[in-house]
Amino acid sequence: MTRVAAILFFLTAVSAALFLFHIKQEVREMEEELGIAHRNILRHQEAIQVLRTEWSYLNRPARIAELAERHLAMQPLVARQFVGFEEIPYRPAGTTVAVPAPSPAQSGTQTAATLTAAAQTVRVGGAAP
Amino acid sequence: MTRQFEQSSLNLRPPVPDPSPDRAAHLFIEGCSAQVLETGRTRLLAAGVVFAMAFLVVGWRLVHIAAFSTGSEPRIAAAAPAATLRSGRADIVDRNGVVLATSLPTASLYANAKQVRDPEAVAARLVGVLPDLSRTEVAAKLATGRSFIWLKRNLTPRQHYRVNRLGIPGLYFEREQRRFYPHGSLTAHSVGFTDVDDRGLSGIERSFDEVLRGRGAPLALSLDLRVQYAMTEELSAAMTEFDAIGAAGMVMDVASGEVLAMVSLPSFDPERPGTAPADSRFNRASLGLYEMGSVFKIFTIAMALDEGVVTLEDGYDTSKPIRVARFTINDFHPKNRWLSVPEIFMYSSNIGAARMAMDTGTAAQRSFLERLGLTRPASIELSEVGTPMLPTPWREINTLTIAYGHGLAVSPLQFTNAAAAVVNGGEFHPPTLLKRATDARSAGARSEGTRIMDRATSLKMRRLMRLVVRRGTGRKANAEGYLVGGKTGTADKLVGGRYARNTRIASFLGAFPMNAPRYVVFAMVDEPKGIKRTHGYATGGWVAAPVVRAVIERIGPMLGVAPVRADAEQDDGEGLLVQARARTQTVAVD
Repeated sequence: MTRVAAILFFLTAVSAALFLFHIKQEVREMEEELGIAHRNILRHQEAIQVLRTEWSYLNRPARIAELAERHLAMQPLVARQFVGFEEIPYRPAGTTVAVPAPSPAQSGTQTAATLTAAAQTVRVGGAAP
Repeated sequence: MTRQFEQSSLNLRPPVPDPSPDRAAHLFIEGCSAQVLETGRTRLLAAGVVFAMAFLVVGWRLVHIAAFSTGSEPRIAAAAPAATLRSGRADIVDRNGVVLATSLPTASLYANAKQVRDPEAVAARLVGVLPDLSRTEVAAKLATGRSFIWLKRNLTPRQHYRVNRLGIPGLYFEREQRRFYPHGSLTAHSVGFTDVDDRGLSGIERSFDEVLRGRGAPLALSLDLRVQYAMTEELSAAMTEFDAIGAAGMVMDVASGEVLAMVSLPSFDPERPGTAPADSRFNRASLGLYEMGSVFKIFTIAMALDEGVVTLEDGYDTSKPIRVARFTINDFHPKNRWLSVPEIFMYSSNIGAARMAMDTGTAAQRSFLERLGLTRPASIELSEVGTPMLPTPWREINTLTIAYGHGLAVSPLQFTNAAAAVVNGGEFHPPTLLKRATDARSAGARSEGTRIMDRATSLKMRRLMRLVVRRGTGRKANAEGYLVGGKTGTADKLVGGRYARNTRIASFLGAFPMNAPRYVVFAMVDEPKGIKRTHGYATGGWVAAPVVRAVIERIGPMLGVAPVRADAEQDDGEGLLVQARARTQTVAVD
């Protein structure tokens, strides 16, 4: 009985030691990995910093203006290109648009009133840029 | 005691070998030293119990920690703090996060000449990838045989890579930090520059030297690079056209005092400040002091209205020049008649402004200008700030000349800041180059301004300034859709103690949109020469007003100012003149 217990304890102690060793080894490996990851983070941060600087340099307004002039058929925005909501004209009467019907029951026979309502919805909805 | 025990057990050995150990053990108990054995057992048991208790406690604690622990132990493992890049000096960015100044690690190339076998061949290959090096010089350096020779400092990553790819033995790199300014001369005066050891020498780099060293997060300025660029471009165009020696420009948020653009021309390359002439490094916007001329009438009129000395229907006779001591005050655009206050402002009458200031008095003028921050250096985050030149003593004649902007020299920064207070409803906000933490417009964080005049006076000034642009001297500043209001200024420069007729400062102060001003824009051109297109004029209205118009047309859409249709403007200024005209008739009847 004592012998069995002793062997059992011995085995437990050995397995615990092995387990501890294994865990320790694993932690060491992970720490090494973490160190590598940190070094990589630093390297990438440095690279990002360089790229951010380059990005800022390439985005010099003078350069953008020159590129825009060369490659785009666009002009600077001027005030009269802005239009207020109230200046957007109503849709001319009589034009029909594909609008989801207000309710399934009315879909067959759209009265003039529902048409106007639909046109209103479109106008309001479409006005947002 | 142990010895005693051993001894006793030795003595207890049976004299005859016994076949059964059990019996022998039995014999022991019945032996003479049974009592000693009993004592030993008891002691062993006691020790065993103590140890068992100790192990039990340890075991229980283990179970407790493993199974039931809460408290101090974190439930979720926290990630180890990631290594952050300590570049040694924080970035400076504009209000939209565009990098204006940054520190980059660079590699500097040096050679150990002892390890270089063939200096000529190495020099040839090096110059192949670094074309700005001199081949003969490099070869000579490598031939010296010294163990440390700088070949080139601060290589770009690409150059670094190329040199590495050559694979020449004996070449090494030293890591160094270097300050870069991607936008170069565009923000050189406000951002400033550093020396080789990364110490700030001017601008924000200098005033925030300690802060920039100590932090990782970038420092956000109030500048908007796009606005800065628009102002720079328009000013330099005007400078070229009018053959001027310099220019300065400001754009300021009237609600917070934030500087969106601060331009001083000519500018310089902050990466090579040593090569720039002193005139280029001089910040005309904050350090330069100028007698502003007629733009100062904004303050004269605002003061007279605020003090209740005049109303918009009052006026002065401007037909006769004012003679005080040896001075004569004349009008540049003489009308030779009674002019109402709006007309005095619109036609920029020196005589009218001087008379108004005379009626208001020297003490009131001084205290008013003090409240506008024009008598002390601007409290901005720069060390290059000019101390205004005030007349000492401040006599009545000074009061008269200051009324139209002579005899008191202030910086464009101070001037713009004061004008912002006049149009924003009468609250003075100290100027700042740092981005405000919260949006001043949305968070209702507008309380930090100090009230310097009645809101009603400010509203009147808005109408008057709009009138100048619609019908007066500032018509060339009328940016379509943005309801620009403003005032022109043309000041003769003091040359050797005398006002010279042909060297002048042409300026324009504009604000927009005038129904609820959001930004003030100031442009100043130093010593413009008249040209054929302007019929020989080089006045504020001809030189600076078009700059302000162009700038507002460009920045209005960027800053999200909704344009107003020309026919939708309610107040065309006609009302101001009608009131005044009615008064003229009354005066005539009187």
